[in-house]
Amino acid sequence: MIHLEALSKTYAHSGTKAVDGLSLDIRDGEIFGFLGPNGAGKTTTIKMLSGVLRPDEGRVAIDGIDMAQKPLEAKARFGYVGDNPELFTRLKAREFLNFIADMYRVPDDARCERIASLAGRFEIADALASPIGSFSRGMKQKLCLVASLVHDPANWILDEPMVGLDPQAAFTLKELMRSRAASGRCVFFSTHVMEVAERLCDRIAVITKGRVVFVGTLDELRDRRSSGGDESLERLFLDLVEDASGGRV
Amino acid sequence: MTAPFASLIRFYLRAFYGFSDAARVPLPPGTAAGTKAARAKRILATIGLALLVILVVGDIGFIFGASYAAMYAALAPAGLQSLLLLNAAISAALIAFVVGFVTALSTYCLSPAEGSLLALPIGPRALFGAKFAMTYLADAALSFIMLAVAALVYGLGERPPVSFYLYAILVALASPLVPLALAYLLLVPIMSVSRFLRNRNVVLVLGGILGAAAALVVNFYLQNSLARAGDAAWIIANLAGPDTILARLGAVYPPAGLAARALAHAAAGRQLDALGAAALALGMGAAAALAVVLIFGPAYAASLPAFGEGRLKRIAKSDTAAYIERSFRRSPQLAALFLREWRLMNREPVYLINGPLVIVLFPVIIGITMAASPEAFAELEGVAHALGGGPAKALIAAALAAFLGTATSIAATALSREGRALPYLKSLPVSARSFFGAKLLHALVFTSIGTVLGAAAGAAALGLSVAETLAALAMALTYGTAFDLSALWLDTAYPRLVWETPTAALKQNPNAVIAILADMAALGGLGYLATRLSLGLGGITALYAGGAGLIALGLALFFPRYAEKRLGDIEL
Ligand SMILES: Nc1ncnc2c1ncn2[C@@H]1O[C@H](COP(=O)(O)OP(=O)(O)O)[C@@H](O)[C@H]1O
Ligand SMILES: [Mg+2]
Repeated sequence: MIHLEALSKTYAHSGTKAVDGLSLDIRDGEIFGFLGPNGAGKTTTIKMLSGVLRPDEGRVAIDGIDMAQKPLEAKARFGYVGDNPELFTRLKAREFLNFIADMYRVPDDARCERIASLAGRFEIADALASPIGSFSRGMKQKLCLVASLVHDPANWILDEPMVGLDPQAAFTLKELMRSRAASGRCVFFSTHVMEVAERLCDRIAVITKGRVVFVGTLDELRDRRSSGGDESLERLFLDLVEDASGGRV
Repeated sequence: MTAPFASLIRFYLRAFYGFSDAARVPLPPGTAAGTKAARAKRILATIGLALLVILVVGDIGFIFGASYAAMYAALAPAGLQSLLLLNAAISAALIAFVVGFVTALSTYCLSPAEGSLLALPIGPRALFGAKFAMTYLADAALSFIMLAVAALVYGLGERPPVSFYLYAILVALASPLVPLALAYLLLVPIMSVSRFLRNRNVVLVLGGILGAAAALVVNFYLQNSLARAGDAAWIIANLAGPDTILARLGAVYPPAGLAARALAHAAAGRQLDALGAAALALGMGAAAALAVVLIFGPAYAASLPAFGEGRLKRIAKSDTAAYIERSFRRSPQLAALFLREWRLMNREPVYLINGPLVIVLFPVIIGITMAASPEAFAELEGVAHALGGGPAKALIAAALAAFLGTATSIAATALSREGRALPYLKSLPVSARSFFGAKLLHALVFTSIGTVLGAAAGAAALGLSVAETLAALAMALTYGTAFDLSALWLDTAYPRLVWETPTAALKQNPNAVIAILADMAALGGLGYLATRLSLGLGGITALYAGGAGLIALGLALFFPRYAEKRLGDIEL
């Protein structure tokens, strides 16, 4: 369960207002897609909700735990896959996973069991002894996915997780998202591709220029189709984004 | 030349020095005060860096200036002062070769991404040309300073026409070209045939060791010329005459002879001769550089793709279950954080050589210098004697120990080294106290090793008693702790997080340079203060160890809260 309340963030560095009064509630048991074009503010939002960036205004709560007040407890309740899989290339995959599991204080049995299962499903079990620097981008992404679930969190937060994955791994990832939602956990991921969201999400939010312009189910989005036409969701998504930017281009 | 070529050079220089583009982002009008503060900070940082450069350049220039002035004074009475120019031209070429070879080796392939540049529509010769230009721009400074200073000394004595200085600049700019071409002439074939060397780790470690050796050569050379500066008879005997090393080097290496002749002609007002010699020197340099770039470009480009970051070794499918079962064990959070720091530092060759290995390399350099000039050693004992029987010896040992313990740059680059991995780390349920605690611990481990080694060496060299050794150890350890905390604070306040190569995070990190300069200043200041205080061993130990201990305690008390707030503020 993730609660975002009136989040705003202006980067002091560039003066860009990346997120502007954003509120969302993501329930347990649902796959929530966070859609928006490049530069819409998806990564900034995800960084705020994972405690990486401090919001200028607003509040983040994970399972009811306030991020500003109890950051360590809140952070222990989610698994996070960032937009940069280039991490610690000098460590071996095994060392990296052990490190992450130690940060979440995962007991021996549980970590072995989860890593065996996840690394097996993503087909990187045979590469665990190798340095991460020798991995392809897709393998690095898979390793980050495995690391994010090593403590079996109630919430799973992913920033553009499909990027760089081969079709097999993308399929495995979707399966995992579905099974986690089905077991009552919360899955929140960002993407700029409508097609991905369409196949997967229970609800979506569309964000552009730091503001949410739509929240709801895909059916609710279809209902907004003008004059009952049969425009694709992709077209609807683009229309939403364009309307918010002040007319079609 | 063509625009892509120029931007390629810029790309390389930026990768080499780790410049960020952030400073160039135009600020939108009417931005918030926070942004103004950020801009002010950037301007301050730039000024600081400029001051640093001036300081270092001034320092080197001063050393060269002093030794050339002495050389001029010795040679001028015999009318042999133009030998000064030949000496400078040859020395500059030698240094350009040594330093250039090391830079060329360690920047042969800056990052694994460099191989992918070949996918762009860039010819191999343009690529190699840009790399050559980068090495030239990065390394020409030292030989330029040498020749410029020599010309200045010569000019002050001879009062030549202004055109002399123009020739001096021209010749100084041209002098590193042939040495660099030679360096690449050796390097590219070696890299092309040897599979072993085309591994970034091996290249970086070799580059580091050769770098240390180069530092030794330069250091030895400077020591020597400074030591002989007052010895006019030696200078004449070794520089003047047909069979001196200088004369022989000048004969086999024409560019230096030409450069010296161009300057001598210019100083004497023989403009035409000067022009001819300078044009020939410049032409030789340009021709050598161009020839190497054109001939070896394809071979250079062909040798790039082999640079990787380690090989993937697959575990047999049947063994993975057993492997996982025995590989994954829980350790305490702080231990895991510490181990991560340790591994990331020691496995990155640039970090290893400029960090922990300094503790080993530095004593070797000092040892060799001492062995080369025993007078310096005797001088040290003389100083200790002159300061009286009191705590002087213990203080010298303490300073040596403290310096060795604080020379690793671990604390001063602790946050910078995280680079773009920092956001990920911030998402983990780790307190700032543990996160920075592990960093401090990492720095303190090496501070302790360096301090103990330094104190032991000092004690052995100066014949300290047990009490004196313990006093030195106490002063150095408390100082080192306070230093590490301050350096960590500095890097937390102004981390350099946006970089492409690890060199930029450590070796070229202003925090590392500032920390080491502040370190030397503080040690010097404390040494001076000790001579003014005239306290006994117990008194000075109580004062220094107590003071440093108190400072360390204060920093340790206030740092965690600051660090937590600062970590939250960082926008990456
Ligand atoms: N570290 C940063 N400093 C300054 N501006 C940034 C930074 N990161 C992102 N931005 C700006 O904030 C806006 C939103 O970016 P981001 O959240 O990364 O978008 P998305 O993930 O949807 O592509 C963009 O205009 C981007 O340029
Ligand atoms: Mg993004």
